[in-house]
Amino acid sequence: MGLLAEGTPLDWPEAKKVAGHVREWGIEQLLAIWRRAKGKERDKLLWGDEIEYLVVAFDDEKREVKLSLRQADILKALANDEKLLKQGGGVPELATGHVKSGKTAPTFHPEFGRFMLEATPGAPWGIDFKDLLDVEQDMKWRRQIANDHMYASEYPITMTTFPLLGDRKSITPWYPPSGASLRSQFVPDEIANPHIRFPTLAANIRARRGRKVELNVPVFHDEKTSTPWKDPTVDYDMHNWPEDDDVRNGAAKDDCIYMDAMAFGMGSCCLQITFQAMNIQEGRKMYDQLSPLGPILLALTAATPIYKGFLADTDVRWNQISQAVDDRTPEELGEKPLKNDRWRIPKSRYASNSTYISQDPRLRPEYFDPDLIVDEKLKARLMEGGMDDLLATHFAHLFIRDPIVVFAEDLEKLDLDSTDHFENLQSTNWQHMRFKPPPPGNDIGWRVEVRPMEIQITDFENAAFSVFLVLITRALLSFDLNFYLPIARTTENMETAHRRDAVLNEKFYFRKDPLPKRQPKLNGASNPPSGASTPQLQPSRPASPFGPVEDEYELMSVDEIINGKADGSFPGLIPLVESYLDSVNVDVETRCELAQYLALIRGRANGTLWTAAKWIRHYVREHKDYKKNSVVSGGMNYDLVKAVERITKQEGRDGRTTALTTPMASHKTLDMIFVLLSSIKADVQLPTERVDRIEKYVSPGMGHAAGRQVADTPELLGMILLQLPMRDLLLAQRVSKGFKAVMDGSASVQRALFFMPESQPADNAAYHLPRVNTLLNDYSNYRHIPLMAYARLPIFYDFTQRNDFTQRETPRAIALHSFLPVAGPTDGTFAVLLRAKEMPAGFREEVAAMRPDRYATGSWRRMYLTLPPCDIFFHDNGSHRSDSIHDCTKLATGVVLGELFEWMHENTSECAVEAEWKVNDCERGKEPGAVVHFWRLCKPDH
Amino acid sequence: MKLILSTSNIIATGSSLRRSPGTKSNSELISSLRSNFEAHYTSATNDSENGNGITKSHYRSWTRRKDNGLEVPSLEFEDSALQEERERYDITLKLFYLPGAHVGQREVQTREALKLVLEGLHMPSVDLLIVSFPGIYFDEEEDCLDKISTRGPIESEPEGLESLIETWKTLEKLHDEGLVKKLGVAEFGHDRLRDFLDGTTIKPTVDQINLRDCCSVPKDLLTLAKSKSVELLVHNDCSNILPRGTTRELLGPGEGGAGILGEEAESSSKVGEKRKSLHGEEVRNGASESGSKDAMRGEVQPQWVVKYTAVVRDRGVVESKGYFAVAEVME
Repeated sequence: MGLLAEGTPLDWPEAKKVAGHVREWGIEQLLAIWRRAKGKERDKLLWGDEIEYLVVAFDDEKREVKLSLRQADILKALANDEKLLKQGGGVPELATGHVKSGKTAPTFHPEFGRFMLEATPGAPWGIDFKDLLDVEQDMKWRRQIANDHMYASEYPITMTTFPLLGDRKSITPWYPPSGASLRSQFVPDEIANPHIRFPTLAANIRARRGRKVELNVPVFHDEKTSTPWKDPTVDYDMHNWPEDDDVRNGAAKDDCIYMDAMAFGMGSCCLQITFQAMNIQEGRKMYDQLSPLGPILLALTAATPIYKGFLADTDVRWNQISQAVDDRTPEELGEKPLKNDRWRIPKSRYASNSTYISQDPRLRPEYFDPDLIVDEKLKARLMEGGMDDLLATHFAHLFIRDPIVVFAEDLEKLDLDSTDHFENLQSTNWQHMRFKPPPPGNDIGWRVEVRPMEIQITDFENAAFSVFLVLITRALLSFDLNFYLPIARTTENMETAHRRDAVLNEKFYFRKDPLPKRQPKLNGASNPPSGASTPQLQPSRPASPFGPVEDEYELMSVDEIINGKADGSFPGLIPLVESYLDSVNVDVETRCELAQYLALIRGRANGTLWTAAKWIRHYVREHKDYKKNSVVSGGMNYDLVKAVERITKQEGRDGRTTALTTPMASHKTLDMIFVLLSSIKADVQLPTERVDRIEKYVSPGMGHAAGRQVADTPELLGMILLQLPMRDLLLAQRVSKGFKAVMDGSASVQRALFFMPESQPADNAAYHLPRVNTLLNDYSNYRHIPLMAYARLPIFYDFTQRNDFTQRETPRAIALHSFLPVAGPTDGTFAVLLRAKEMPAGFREEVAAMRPDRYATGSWRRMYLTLPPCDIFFHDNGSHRSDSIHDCTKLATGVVLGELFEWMHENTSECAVEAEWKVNDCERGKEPGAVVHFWRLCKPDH
Repeated sequence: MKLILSTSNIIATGSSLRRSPGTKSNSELISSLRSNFEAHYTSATNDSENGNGITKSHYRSWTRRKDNGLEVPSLEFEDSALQEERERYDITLKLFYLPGAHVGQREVQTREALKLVLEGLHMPSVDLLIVSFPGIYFDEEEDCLDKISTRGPIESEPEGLESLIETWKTLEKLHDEGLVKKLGVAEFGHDRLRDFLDGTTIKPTVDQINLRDCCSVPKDLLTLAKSKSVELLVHNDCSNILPRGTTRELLGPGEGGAGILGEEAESSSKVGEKRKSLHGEEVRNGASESGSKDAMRGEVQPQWVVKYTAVVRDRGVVESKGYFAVAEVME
């Protein structure tokens, strides 16, 4: 959000009367920018991210969480922080003549919602790869600073929307709804930033529209949700404002959650990235090429499954914001014949974009939006001023809108050195891509803003998506990739991205072949690089006849788009990024950190990691208070937001695989465990680090007695412990003698630890799928779950050791490698397969250097590999992957980890054996189990 | 006869993209050489396709004899220059000394490789020259299956430290002459790097190692690198990037070959290399018509490969990337 100008805003319809005037002046200002900056060249890649927060206030006594409307106070505290100012941070909007000292503390900005904050890095990022690793740290720093300027009960969370916004209760301080500007029956005027711009924006959108904005989000029909479902919170008897008639005129639709104010949309948080291009041509290219990625990014970052206390049937915020700022009149919407308005407009001001602007020979006329509305008069003026057709069309399209907030003072004189009128329209066209001309008076270049992504719960995720996008832009510029797709398909994709779990279940139109079509130029000549200093020089390419546009794209899953198609026909965005990284010099630590970010995106796309939307929905549906009727109660919301806060702080380091893959129930339980541990701290023999964390975590005096009580109740303790992930469960044995006794005495704990076989369910024994020891899965997590990357080789690790990249002390002979499942036997059996295989170089030395005695004890040795216990087969038909266990020798049944470990170490020789452990479930037509690889040295006669 | 093979700028041709996770990492070099040859031998005739596919034009029409060598294809450096001035770029060269080549020739080879790149890019110097010695593989702490599959055929044992240092003296000269700003090595483990640092005057500032997706670096190597200001960079190349069999196939009379080499001589089968095509299928011996008239006979021995990349420094955009390779044909 830009700087907030002061002035006397015009009410509607006064503003309407001067709209043409503002547009014309805006166009003149644009032409001035164009003349000044069209030749601007050689700008660096600079980029920036914007993080938006919701400020929530917890009341742990009452188990309540509310939106805090203290934005102004918090910003004031930030603006007056001397230390922050010295480092260049603060709040530019509130700065009083203070000059930045060149240091780069983050800066904070007001946002539409009075419960929101926006934070940006103090200085833009570059493309030094080490810079990319600073992004996450900076995001964490921002959150920390914001938090430091709040009350102890407040916290800046990054959820797109507050689940109970509009419940008429969950704001503090509390104000009654139905104010003069919003006229909402759900939220008060005080929900919006009090700066005059915001209430005017809301009021004028409502006035222009002729009624309140109307947000109808399909409700998620759970088992006990009625059909048709009518939003029970709608008040049909309110008579404060003329707009209160809206609901009596059918504004609230059946089976939809109904909302009626701009705050429901503009109160959403998103993650936006802005890139500076080297020149206008490169900017136009990035704008076009990133546009088709928008819906994919939206689906990947989906995080919005709840509105106004109800589970929605959609996963993302986009359409709700679109509806929340939709100022179109009934005529423009096509509900009434055109009489006063100039045209029907197919999209809201907030929508997927509708233009391509790059002067690229690959841009075919068929790609353009057939429904594009353009102000031809303004376009003619732009072209008369020297602008080319494509760009003139783009801006003349944006300028079909009316300015919403007009300050009387600005209409006195046209200032061509200013951009206020241009920005007035430019910045109230909220399309998913934004092409931004250089601002006057400084050296900033042409920029492209990418706007579709939803904010993510953790800074790790926000950094991952930011960095991914940066790398994608570098790959597409280096490889000259082509993602062009007809705009109408991108518009459809945007709708598709709304569906529940679209990231896994839906298919999106995407270009089949993004690779450049050009032949390598003959005679050893290189192709002129795209966007080099002589950009007019377009690569000459053979005049290959264009086929039908429809043949250029097809429906693909997000997994295919991100990770590539199995048959290699589509490379995948992640492999493209990796190919780019292969072509530049990157140091090992950076590359490995970047690999974690890419692993997050990869995992989101292939389903191994959940979107926040899926996790939140799952959390609600698994909550003990949930009545299967789509209702999210205050208590559930408290637990949810509390959980979100914890995930933000812990990022899965609290022993969970990752927050977003683990059901919330166990997070809550983990709390209880921590409370428990703290209450009996005298007994605790845990690593210091863990104890420290517990101390930080548990508020003083909290839960001491309760913890003791639980610990004294073995059944209760056993049940709680069962919620723990495997590693913590193993570790829990070492908490105290009391813990150990409880665990030893509990059959279910023993089974959970894979210490004893569980009884087979008699009914569907044939289909009973063995469970894989999750300790082994933990290892496989290292590839799929970036947060676990540092916690590798769990079995043979010293649990007390914290391992990180530079301090890794690994027993090396055993390495477990997870692979994608290979085809297995067809009879539903499963087994451990051992095969003779070429020994990896250095393997023997590694074994020689090992100290097996170090692993002589440890309860993990008693763990089965699977439950029910599996067979081990040996297989030696060379290095070819076998798809069958039928030609193998059975070695043993019911092997435990200790035996396996011994077996792998008993001999040293010239060959190695690869053990491949697979769990098959072919009867169901899929293979859900992990496949784990071991290496071991074997006897020569093998 | 010396053959100078080149790819031209491949960055925007799709050759440098990972097709699938299992792709061998020399596929970029092989496929870009192949497609560059193909573009030349097909365009030279430009006939419409007859039923039997593309007619190959005779290699003499698209290659050039120069001094005692043959440029495949003919080198034209007129349009291959980088667009901006020297300081805008990070130019990295990686020179692969191949197994079976003359160690004594390395000074000549290194200068020739550097000269080709400098002429091609129209640049006076490069930022970083990394050398890769045959048979040297960095051993990771943990076995990494992905990595093992990317080594390519092993055709040689690592050479001794003295030989490495002897070669390095050549590089030190290039550094002194201002042609190369920084020097680097590839795939050195802790011990080799330590000994090498002790034995050299101008120290390597880079050790490039292949991690694939296995992010584990031995602690001792990390510590050593940090203390000696050696940057550990990641690469994804085979050390034996251009095996003999592959070269013969690229240049041979077969279906995807350039038709420069004739049928394989009897003697070359002694090499004992499995004749597998790039795609893992057996090459159909003699399936295609025998190559061009006056095709060369004899054993082919790849000598070196140089890879170059030019990245626009403050934008992270790769503007130029390509390879030159030299092979000897011993008639």
